[in-house]
Amino acid sequence: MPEILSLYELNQVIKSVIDTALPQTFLVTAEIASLDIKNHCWMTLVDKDKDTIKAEMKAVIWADRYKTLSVEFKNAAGVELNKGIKILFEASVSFHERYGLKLNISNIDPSYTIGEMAVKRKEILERLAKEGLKDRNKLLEFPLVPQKIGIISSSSAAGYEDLMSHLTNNPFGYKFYCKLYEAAMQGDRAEASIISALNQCIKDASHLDVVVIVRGGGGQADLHCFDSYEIARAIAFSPLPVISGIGHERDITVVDEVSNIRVKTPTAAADLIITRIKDFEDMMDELAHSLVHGISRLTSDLREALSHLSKNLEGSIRRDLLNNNHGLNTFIKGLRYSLKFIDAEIERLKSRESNIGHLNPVNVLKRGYSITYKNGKAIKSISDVQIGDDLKTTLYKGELMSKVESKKITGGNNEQDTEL
Amino acid sequence: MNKTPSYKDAIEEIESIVNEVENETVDVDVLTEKVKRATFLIKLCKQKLRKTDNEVKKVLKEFDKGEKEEED
Repeated sequence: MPEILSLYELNQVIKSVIDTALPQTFLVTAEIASLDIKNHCWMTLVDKDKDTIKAEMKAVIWADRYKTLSVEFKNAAGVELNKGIKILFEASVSFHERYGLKLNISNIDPSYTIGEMAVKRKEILERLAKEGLKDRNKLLEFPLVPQKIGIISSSSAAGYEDLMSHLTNNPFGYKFYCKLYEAAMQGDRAEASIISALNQCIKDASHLDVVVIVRGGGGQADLHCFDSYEIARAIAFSPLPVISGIGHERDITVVDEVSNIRVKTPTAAADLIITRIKDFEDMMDELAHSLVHGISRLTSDLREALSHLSKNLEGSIRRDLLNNNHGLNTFIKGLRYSLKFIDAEIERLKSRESNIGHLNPVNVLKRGYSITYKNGKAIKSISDVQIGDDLKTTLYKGELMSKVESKKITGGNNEQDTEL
Repeated sequence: MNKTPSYKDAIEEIESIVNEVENETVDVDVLTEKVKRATFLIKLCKQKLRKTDNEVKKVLKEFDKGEKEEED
């Protein structure tokens, strides 16, 4: 018959076996599945094959150790010990009669986590690239004058204050319209809250020029949440260019990689925006200057051309005048000649007048001749008239009316005689 | 011929009348009419010539005046 043990006695046996069999410490890798700080740091560690948990165990970092270890780890790895990160740690296996098996973590190697994060980041970037999302936001044209700025940050974050103070107190007096889209910038809630803030910005896109993501700033902080596929995807689909000013020196997060522009600090984000506006203003000044210069050059060119033209015109007018003068002289000559022609014509008319004058019957009548008419027709022979006919005789001055009393044939008109 | 004839037409008619009455035996009745017509045409031509003469002289006078002004 085996010995009957109480549960406590059994657990004492197990504890003794474990203490004896596993006296040393082990170097173990695992992912933190959950983390709870209640004075001591309590964790659940898992080992996964893709999404299937192959192994799971409780672990603890005792409060005294945790105080120094957590700070050392954060400073070295750039992330806080938190759910989702992978760690390489040194631990001993312990068994407690009441609380069972757990790992007592004495040390964590931050370089392993850094490497693991880099691998994870690389995988996310590869996936984004494959899906065509990696450079999507980068392809958006950065506005020439970014003045309406959506800020994703926490209102209590130092980085937000830095950004606002730099924007407000810029030396050029540029005015900005800033709207804060409140989000948790670290911890478990960060991812979901940043995505929600981004979606809010996208909704307000018509009132915004750019989105700036700024984090607490100062010292090393947890950048873990910025290596997020989901945030990167939201940035990729944003119609607004995103500036990431997460504020860290060492690593480039996924959010940095997919943003339109990455700067190191919130202050640098403000400087970038101000510089862009200044660049635009300078460009305008330069344009205005070259416009003025160009116009003045054009004016002087025109003036020169005009003076040249006016000289040419003067010359050509002079030439034209000379030609015209020549034409006029010809015309005047023609006129003078026409006077001679008129004189000649008057002479010709006079000669015709005299021709006509000789033939004019009036001139014949003047010399004493007369014309005798019967019924308005001149009588040239006595055979034209009968005794008793009424005749009219035209003299040089006046007319005679007569009646034929007798006819007598005179000589010199034999033809007429024989007809009688 | 209702319309006043042109100088050219008038002078041609005058020439033709003179030629006709000098070289042909023209009846005295017709002759009177021809002479009347020729006298009318000669008068018309003289008027036209005088008018033209005046106008030409006027233009020449203007021109001489203009030339003098230009010289001043």
